[in-house]
Amino acid sequence: MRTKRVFLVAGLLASLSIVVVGQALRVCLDFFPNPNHAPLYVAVEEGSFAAFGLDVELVVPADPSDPVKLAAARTIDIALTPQINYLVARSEGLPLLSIGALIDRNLGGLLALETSGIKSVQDLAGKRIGYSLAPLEPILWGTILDCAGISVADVELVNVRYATIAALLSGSLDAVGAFRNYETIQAEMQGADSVFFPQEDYCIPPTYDIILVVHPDLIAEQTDDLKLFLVALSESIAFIRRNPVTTFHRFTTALPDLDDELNRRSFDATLPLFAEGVRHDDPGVWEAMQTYLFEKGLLTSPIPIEALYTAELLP
Amino acid sequence: MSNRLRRILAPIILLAFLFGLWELIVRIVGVPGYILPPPSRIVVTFFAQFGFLWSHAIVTLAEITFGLLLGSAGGLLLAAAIVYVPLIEWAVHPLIIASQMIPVFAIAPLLIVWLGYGLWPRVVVAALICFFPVAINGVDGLRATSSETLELFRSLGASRWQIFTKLRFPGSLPALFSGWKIAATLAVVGATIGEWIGASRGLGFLMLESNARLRIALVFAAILMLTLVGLLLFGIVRIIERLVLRWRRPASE
Amino acid sequence: MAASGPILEVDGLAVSFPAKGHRTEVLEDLSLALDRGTWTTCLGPSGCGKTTLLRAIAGLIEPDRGSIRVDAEFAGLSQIAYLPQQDTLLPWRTALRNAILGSEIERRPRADAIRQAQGLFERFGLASAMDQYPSQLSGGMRQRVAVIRTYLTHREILLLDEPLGALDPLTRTDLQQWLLDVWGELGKTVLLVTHDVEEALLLSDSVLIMTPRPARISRIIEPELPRPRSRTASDFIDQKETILGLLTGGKP
Repeated sequence: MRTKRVFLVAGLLASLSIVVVGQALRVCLDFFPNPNHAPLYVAVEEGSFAAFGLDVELVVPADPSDPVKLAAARTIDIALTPQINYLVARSEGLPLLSIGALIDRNLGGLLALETSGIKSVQDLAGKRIGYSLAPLEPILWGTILDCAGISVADVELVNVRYATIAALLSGSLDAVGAFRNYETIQAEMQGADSVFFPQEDYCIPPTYDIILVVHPDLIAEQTDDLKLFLVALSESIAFIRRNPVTTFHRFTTALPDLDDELNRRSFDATLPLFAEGVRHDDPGVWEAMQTYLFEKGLLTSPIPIEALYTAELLP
Repeated sequence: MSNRLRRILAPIILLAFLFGLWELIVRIVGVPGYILPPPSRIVVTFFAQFGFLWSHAIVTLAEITFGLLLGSAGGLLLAAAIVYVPLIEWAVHPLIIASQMIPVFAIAPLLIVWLGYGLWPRVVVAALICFFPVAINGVDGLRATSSETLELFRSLGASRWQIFTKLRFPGSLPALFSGWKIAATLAVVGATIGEWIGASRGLGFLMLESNARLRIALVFAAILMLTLVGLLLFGIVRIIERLVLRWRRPASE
Repeated sequence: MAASGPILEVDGLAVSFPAKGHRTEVLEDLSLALDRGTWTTCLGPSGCGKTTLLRAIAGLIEPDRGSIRVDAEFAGLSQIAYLPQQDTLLPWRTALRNAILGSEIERRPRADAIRQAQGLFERFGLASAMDQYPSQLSGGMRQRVAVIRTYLTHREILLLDEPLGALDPLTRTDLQQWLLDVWGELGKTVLLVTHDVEEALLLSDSVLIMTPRPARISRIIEPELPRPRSRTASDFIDQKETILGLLTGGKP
């Protein structure tokens, strides 16, 4: 009798521990942690992933081109990456599939200071533009210039890694590639009169600016886990929209370094940009973006749209 | 087989062996090309894109050369100052050593604010990295004069300038060249790192961009080109050394 | 031609060095006089302060007491040429360019200096060495070049610090004869220091016996031996015995 009870307790504890530890999912961010990643951090803090039996680990990449490589090599499970970078990776033959989106709007554009005399894109002729994310930024800004009638040859594009805002404010650069929910706020807070040219206003098709991609084999192996993950993420997005103040607090608990005015304002600016229901399944968006990239010579050959993403894991 | 032939063949054979091993491992284990391409693909890419690689290599070579010249001049001046003015040595020596500990990324924003995005920040980064061995070896070299020879010069009534130009400086050349060879290789690294801070051309820039575009074979081809550039530079320094220091070879050679 | 008095006079020279809290007396009350155009040798055991004496005369160290006077006609440090004991040929210069070092430092016209050097090189058997680097020359050849360099400074008083000390006995014998030949032709007042008794007798007009530290000149011997001298001649051997006796007798 006594032995039976011991075994029962042991068995319960064992099953509890399985539930508590859960199935591990390593998620690699696309960049340094910033308010774009709020739904992930808040979900971890709230225990939403754990409640589904998922042990989610968030990983910061050393280099923005790492996430897709790591996901294809299965060193990590889920990679966050801009749709454009994903399409380039697919074109190079990396085995990946998109399962959802974190941000389903355009984030980017060109930021310039009015004090340097730039009021319209045309004023950028003969100037120096800095960017940090290749290959997508040079293509985007080249398109913006093209759309405004300026040749790329008239402009110097410099890869400056992460030092964009400082360089802009000091005058070393005339314009920088920027996120509308981050660098623009940074410039404003520094008291600079800045002007932002959103990319969709200049001949660039709409894009899903942060999507989630995995190795196709992972979908077969951990179908349920991935589904649950997306459910949790989607709920987290809705939760953040309803409770911005509390959730910002959760966010900064996980990332104390980001507890400042800039991130608070950026957080608020990002709220409308998250993908409702983490949906990424408008074939028109994929079609238009792939055609655009192919025309710009960034893709060797187009891939059938159905092979680029799957909606079967969406909540 | 003559000694000379052996000397040339030895590294080539070793390299061929290592490349063969690499090729084998990549193919057998099935390492994906976007992580580590096989050397065969790298070599093919290298020759297919040679013109393109070379156009970037020239930019980096210019940065390396200017950086090396600037760093060498600075290092030599500093060495002379340290040897001749003890106050400078006490004040500056620890600072020089500290300067080598600061990672380039920490001072990169400063350099960019002061020097913009042209050639200069990269030249300065290269110079900062490579002045150190020249300075240190320069100090040792300048101090390596024998006291008897120094007394001889004094007894001949030589001025301090004459002692420097006719005794200390020529006597320091062997040590300086040792430092210079090290500086040449460091300048290559320095220019590449400098390009990572901000550039629109050059092999370091090309490595960044190719990596981001997942053209990993091109990254390695760029590394191969950079290696060749480094070897070329090293070779040039060695030739200059042989010419300047021809007095070192004993009559038997 | 000759001045009435000695060209160099050292009077009561005292030199000491600090060592471990007290001072070591190297030279004490040392006096000597050189006549112009003569060859004088200071003979003494190793470590007795011979180098110190030469360095003091050359003005490279300050004596504690005493005076060093050069004849008024030849006053000034620029009349004393000092050849240090260690090999001081510059390895990066050819033998010829090493020889003209003194002229270069004194900014004399280069072409003349080279011509003079070439002349001396040829006259004294160094023609083959002219364009060679010191590393390619034997010890004996290097010393010859150094001596020529000393002569090319055109100074009247030459101080030679054991120039043959590092050479093997055969080479030393060759070089002693060679020194005689050179001095015979070019003259100058020479003060040589050495511990080799035969060398002193072979070369000198007068031999000054130095005591061990603190050193002074204990005896002056003028070997009245006819030149050319032979080390096998009986009067040579007699003198050598005498001097050896004096040297060993000087030890306490």
